[in-house]
Amino acid sequence: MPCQPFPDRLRRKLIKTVATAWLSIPCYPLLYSVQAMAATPTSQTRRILWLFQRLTGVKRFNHRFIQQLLVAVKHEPSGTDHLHRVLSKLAPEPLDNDMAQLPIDIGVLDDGERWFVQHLLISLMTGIYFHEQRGNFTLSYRYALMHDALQDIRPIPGTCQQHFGFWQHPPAQ
Amino acid sequence: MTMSDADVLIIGAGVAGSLLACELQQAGFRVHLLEAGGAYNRQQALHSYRQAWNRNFQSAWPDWPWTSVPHLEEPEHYYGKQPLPGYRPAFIKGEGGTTRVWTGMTPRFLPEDFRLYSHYGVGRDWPLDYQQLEPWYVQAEHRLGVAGNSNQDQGSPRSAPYPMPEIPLTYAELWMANKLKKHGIQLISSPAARNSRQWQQRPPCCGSNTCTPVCPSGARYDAGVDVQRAKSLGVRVSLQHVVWKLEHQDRYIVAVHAKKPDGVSQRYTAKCIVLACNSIETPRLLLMSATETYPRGLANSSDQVGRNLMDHVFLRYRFATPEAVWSGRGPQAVGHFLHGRYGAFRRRYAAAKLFVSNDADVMSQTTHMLNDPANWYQAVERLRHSISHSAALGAEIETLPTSDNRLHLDAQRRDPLGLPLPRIDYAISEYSERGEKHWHEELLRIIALLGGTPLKVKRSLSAHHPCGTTRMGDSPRDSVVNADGQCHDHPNLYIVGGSVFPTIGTANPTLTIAALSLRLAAHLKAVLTGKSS
Ligand SMILES: Cc1cc2nc3c(=O)[nH]c(=O)nc-3n(C[C@H](O)[C@H](O)[C@H](O)COP(=O)(O)OP(=O)(O)OC[C@H]3O[C@@H](n4cnc5c(N)ncnc54)[C@H](O)[C@@H]3O)c2cc1C
Ligand code: SF4
Repeated sequence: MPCQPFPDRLRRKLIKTVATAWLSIPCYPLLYSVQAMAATPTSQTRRILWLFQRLTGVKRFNHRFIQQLLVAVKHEPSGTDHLHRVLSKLAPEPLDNDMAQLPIDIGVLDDGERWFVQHLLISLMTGIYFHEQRGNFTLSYRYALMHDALQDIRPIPGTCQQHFGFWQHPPAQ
Repeated sequence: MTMSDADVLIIGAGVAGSLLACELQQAGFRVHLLEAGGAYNRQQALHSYRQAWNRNFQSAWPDWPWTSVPHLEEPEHYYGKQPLPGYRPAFIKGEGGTTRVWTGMTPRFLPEDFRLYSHYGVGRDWPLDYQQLEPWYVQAEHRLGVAGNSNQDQGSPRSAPYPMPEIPLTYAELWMANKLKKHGIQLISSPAARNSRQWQQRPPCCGSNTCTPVCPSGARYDAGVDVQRAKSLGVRVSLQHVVWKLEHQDRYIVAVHAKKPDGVSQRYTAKCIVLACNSIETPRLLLMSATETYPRGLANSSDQVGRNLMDHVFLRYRFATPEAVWSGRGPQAVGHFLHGRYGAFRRRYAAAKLFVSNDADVMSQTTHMLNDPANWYQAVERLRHSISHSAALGAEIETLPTSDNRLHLDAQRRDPLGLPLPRIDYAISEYSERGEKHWHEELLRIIALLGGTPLKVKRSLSAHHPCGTTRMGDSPRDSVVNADGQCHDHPNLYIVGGSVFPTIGTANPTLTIAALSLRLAAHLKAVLTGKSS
């Protein structure tokens, strides 16, 4: 049966918007936060994870996956800038746990920021980083949320985790 | 320089070639198997698939710099430009051939499929009938390891049970079957070359849902199994050998010429030559071997080489379900509907195999969902809902042989070894168009009976089942090979594969290819021992 290649129309459309919003902000603080994330999370790292939780509903992320994602973001021409801008609008200090349960108000985002939020979400969910200049690449297969966070309803495709015939029954909920 | 002197030279190490090689070698003949591609490794394929950003079946199995295959994303490179929607069946080259990526569905043809003209006045009859092929179906089911329900009448009478019990329907299919029963629609487990228990040192299926492109456990058969077996039996297997010319003396094929990746050509001889290169590459090779004596190519006095190209028109509907049905758990395809494949309607429009697709299509569901900012919140829960509340139904619709649907050699485009690439003319007949319209409506009717809401439809002229390009028949005037697969024009040249099918029916082709291969093996054993001509 035929397979379909992955559609990345949106990526191409939105990346044009972003190109116009480039600002050169130093990358060092972001890299520092990421490196420090495992030990004592910096305020920025906590804000990032808080935002990811707000977007996806997932509370725990694979550390290495997130680290790779943030390194890739840092290599985007305006990635660090966008991250700062999006964090300041969607994850302002002090972090409010009640707010984590609320949908984001996309009205506060400009086009470039909107693109960036979608870009982060697609990366988190699919584990694939879409990058016009460097080419698209896989950050993680295993920890992509479309696999990892849905394991309770569907084994990670391509891995043998269950017994023959389990598919006759609904997942244990 | 002339190399080797085998009894039988087989070109192509897919299921057709490797099964044949094992049979003949085991019977004491010297067999040489030539394969254009290289060696494959399943674990490596799994790794490449996971690493690729555009996960399709070609990201699992690499192609090779010295020979071309049709790419899913750039099919024009191999087939050239075609009017839309284009007909571009995919296949891969290497040890085990295209079964490395197949889904493993193995229904038999129906008896009527061999007598389409006699029963319905359309298409053609095969020069052999179901009864003649039936014992070979039994053997093929054992060789591939087919799981199926032996007590269920699927329209193809059986003389022996399936080697393994059937793969159970998924929860979504059981839900559908239950709802559809009262409307007289029956959904059954399709026979599949997937283990429902340990079989020939391969484990039972664990439901990992990547049958295409790669089965992590080896529960699904691929012909890599038989290439390994051929090697252990003593078959000489030469990978990275692209056969580009057959050499004839009078009517006999006396040698084949194969290029290695460095372009150096070697000549190999044998008493008997078998082409098992698939329905695209077999006619390509025959056309490339044209000489002054045979200016239209070898085996082509009928002018049928490359013509009568057929496939199944492919339709797939994704739809939202009114309750959670949890698609995407278990094998990618399990059940099909009993109706659609036979009936008097075949006089007027094409038959179809209607099936349930259990590929949750998670990647496109995810990206589609994230196009809407309303879903940028609790995205995982939303994805969970859309995956659990959707399912897909499909149809593979029969096409008829027509001489205008054909493959030629392109005068301009060449592969890396300088060999001409194919070009294809393809359109579906009004008969198939009527069938498509009918089965499209039938899918929508079933979706409505299930209380579903259609979400999106995918259509393709190819289900990757190309057939018919060197068809079999009794008459050398309108066919290329006889019922044994022997070329009418060249007594020691044989063809095996979907290319010899005179009509395509609605069954996926590979089990029938395997049955024909085993039948040819029996014939060649008799020929080579002088018991037959
Ligand atoms: C995605 C996908 C899913 C499929 N699912 C199913 C399914 O569920 N059920 C089903 O019945 N069928 C299915 N098929 C079709 C099935 O894979 C083919 O029918 C089957 O593999 C054909 O076997 P073959 O041996 O005839 O040809 P192939 O497997 O294509 O093998 C031919 C071999 O010949 C070699 N070769 C070609 N030319 C030369 C040359 N000049 N010199 C040397 N070697 C050469 C090739 O490299 C190749 O290895 C599917 C196909 C695809 C692509
Ligand atoms: S579901 Fe998984 S284990 Fe079963 S045949 Fe398919 S790929 Fe192999």
